[in-house]
Amino acid sequence: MTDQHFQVAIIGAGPAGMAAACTTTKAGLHTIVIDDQKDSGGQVYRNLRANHSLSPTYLGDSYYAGTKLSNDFAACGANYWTDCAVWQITSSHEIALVSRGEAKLITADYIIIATGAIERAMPVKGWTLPGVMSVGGAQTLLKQAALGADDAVFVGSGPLLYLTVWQYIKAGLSVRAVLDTTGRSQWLSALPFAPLAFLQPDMLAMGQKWLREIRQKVDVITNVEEVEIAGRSQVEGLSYTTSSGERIDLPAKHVFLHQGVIPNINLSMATGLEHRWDQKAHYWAPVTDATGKSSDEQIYIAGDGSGVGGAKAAAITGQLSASAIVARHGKPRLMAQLYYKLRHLHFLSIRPFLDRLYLPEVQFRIPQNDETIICRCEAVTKADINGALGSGATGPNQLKAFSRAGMGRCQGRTCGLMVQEMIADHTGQSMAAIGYYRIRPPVKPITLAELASLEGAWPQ
Amino acid sequence: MDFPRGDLMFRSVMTKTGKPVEFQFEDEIITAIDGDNVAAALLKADKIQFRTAKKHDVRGPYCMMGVCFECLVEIDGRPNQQACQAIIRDGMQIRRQQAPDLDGEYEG
Amino acid sequence: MTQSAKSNFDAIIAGGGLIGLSIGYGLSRLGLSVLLLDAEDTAIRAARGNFGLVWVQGKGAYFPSYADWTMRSSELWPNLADELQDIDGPKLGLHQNGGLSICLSEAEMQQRFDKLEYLRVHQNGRFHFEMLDRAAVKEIMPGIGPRVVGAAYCAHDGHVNPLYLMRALQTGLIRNGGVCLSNSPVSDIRKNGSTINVSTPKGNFECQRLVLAAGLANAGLAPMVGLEQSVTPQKGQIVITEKLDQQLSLPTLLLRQTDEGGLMIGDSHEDCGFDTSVSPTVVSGIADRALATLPALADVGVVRSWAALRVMSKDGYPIYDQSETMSGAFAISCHSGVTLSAAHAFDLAGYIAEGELGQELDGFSQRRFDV
Repeated sequence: MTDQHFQVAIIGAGPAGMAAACTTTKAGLHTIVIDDQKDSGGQVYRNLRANHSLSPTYLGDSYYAGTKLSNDFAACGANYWTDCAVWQITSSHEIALVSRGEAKLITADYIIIATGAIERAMPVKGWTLPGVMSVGGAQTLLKQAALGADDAVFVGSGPLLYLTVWQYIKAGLSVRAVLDTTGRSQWLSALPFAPLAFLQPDMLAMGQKWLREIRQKVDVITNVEEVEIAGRSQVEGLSYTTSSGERIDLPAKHVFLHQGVIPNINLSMATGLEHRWDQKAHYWAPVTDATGKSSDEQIYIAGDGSGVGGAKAAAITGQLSASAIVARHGKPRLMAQLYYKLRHLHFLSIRPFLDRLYLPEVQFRIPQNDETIICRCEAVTKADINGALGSGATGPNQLKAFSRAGMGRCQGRTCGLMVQEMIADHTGQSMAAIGYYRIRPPVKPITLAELASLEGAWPQ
Repeated sequence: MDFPRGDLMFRSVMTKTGKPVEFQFEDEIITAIDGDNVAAALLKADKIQFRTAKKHDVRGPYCMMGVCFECLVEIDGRPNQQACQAIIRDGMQIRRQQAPDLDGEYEG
Repeated sequence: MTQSAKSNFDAIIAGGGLIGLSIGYGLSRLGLSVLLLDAEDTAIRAARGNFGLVWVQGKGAYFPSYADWTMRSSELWPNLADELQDIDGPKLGLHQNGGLSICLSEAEMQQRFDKLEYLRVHQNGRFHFEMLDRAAVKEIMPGIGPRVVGAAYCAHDGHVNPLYLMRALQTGLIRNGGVCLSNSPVSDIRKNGSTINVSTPKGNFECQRLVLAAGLANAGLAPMVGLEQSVTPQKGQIVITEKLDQQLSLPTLLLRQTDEGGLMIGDSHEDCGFDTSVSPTVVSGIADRALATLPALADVGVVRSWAALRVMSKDGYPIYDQSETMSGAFAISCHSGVTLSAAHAFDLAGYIAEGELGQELDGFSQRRFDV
């Protein structure tokens, strides 16, 4: 059944996947990189190669920092399948793909999953109205289509929010307001980690620079609470409470929400790899060793998918996993490994600070209104989830069966953590004890005809 | 409610060159640039309502990276296509994705 | 619930699947105090993988008492649905307007006819079916593909949402004063005078009636009450599509459309041990057969696929047993938990409350394998 066999298969062509491919091909390993986009770069360097010729300055240095890696990847000689989605990895390490209407299976000695991060949900009232987008979505529109909306309101917390606002104003777009929801208590809990953050002065400096330039042009309102978006069939405005307790109404057509990013674990979960609940960062991440090796000896996880560290760290973890695989092919990389490991650890040292600082408060993790939708795909509200809890659901999978939350097209990517936390609150158990949805293939869209094209046998 | 700027919801911040293509959204002919993704082409044309999840529950693009499945539209008769992942082509027929029509006793 | 303050119950059910919930609900509606002990959220579960058919045609073709029992349950189903309707929660979506089994060759048609005709002859006129030719099938399912030769139609068949059925049964059980404990697999069972003591990680409980309905785990539990339940897993894989406008007015053995609009497509029958992984080639075969039936589904997206393990006895029929050495203890193992739910909630729960299985279940003992 298998069409092709590779020594290394890398899933995802973002910074981690690109860096890994450069390392494995340099060592002469027969490598395939599979990515569902049309060009490399992942989300962070989306459309970088196309933008490079036009070089719009509004995207900033942190974006163009990916240029060398993208060029190296383009020249590395790896097999590179674009527009190709991985919908399953089997226990015998078959990788099930779908591309341009056809499905097939390939195999590999080693697999590196480098599927990056997704944004954490911010389920405030009205967050499903057209006109509300995630900040990442707004940024993607800017990078990929050079599109932006005037007078948008940015709401939330975290570096990506400020980077995107900065890019917006550099692109000549007006920004109505930034409503920062980072609470005072979050600043306090982040403080013990501040000394570690100073090991990364350039990152902090970059943040300061953005903030200075943003404040010159935009109202930045801090300690914002109780955000509600109003509208019937599209956004008409939003309201919030200030730190002094004042309720403010703001007309708006666009609201962009952000509460940080979390690992995209759907493929690693569907593959049956072990995961751990990271209480500090408040997300699930695959269990890996320092080289990214997962609970399956043949599968590595690199980049934000193994724990959010940003683009630079992702590239390093990609090299680390690749180096470990090269070593297991009998080409020791002791020096390289050690070097990368050190840099890796060094780089990640700012994470504990950021994790504490940007972990959203409960009011931005769980909807405050009964009618607010939790599962967007199946239109399941907070009241619906409470109803299922009242029917005695005590685990995410039972609750899924009772309420349909997590049964839709996105397979729980949006609602998973919310549902888990509501069960934890209801039953008094820890987040780790509650667990997560059991993720089922296909983790990427595939049609019946595409599935049938695999020529499986009807099993009697 | 006042909106101080112009009507366009999303506007270009850079002159983009490329072959112009025409596509149809519902009953309207819209011009876009070859290679744009469908969601971007629609947003640029002031179309932000892409689908209905249930009666009176309208949705539009949210994540723009293929994760949330909120931007589903019908393209050339094929339902449930992710607009943010599809590329616009000349002559494309695009319609809003409607919540399924289940008549008779299937309704519920 | 995660804890129980109470430790003494009229009845304890080991197993929170469709069998355990149906019996537990049935006992609770008779006024018994019920404790239902369930395993972990991620335990091997046949119930959450159920296809959702309330199916009669072909059932017990060569085991008349199973055919009777299935028919009885199908007839009781509207009563169960009516009762559960009064409990808050999503609609069960019970439709008993008949069902089809689509045949893709003359040989399949003949095979189907032989089986159903045998059933008809041996069911004293209770069972009816019709063989439909291609044109007749086309009237019911206009989009059928060229490979469809015909179908068997049976008016007794139907379908329901198996997950909402579980929810309604559990809600009803709780309303009737029952207690459901999760993460509480039974670890030990002992007789103490007239009561039965049951040990779990959540504590020890006492009861007068104990029902083992733990699916494949019954093989390990039954000996604790002096019974044997030889059951093995049979894997079934199912595919579900995105929501569609109405495509099917009737369910078939392979395809059914849920009330939400999604199509369920299944399911395979594989003997491969305790493996619940989805196999790409098997689900591909399932997709292929669905397209042979309805080619217009080609561009329909797949939302999810899963594998579940049916609880199979050596001959494929249910095992109903009561212990001779530990009175008050029962063990039930079967697949088709949705179809039999009504018989379990009403008739079987009644027998268990009385402490004696009814005579129509005589042939279902594990002892039938001792010959």
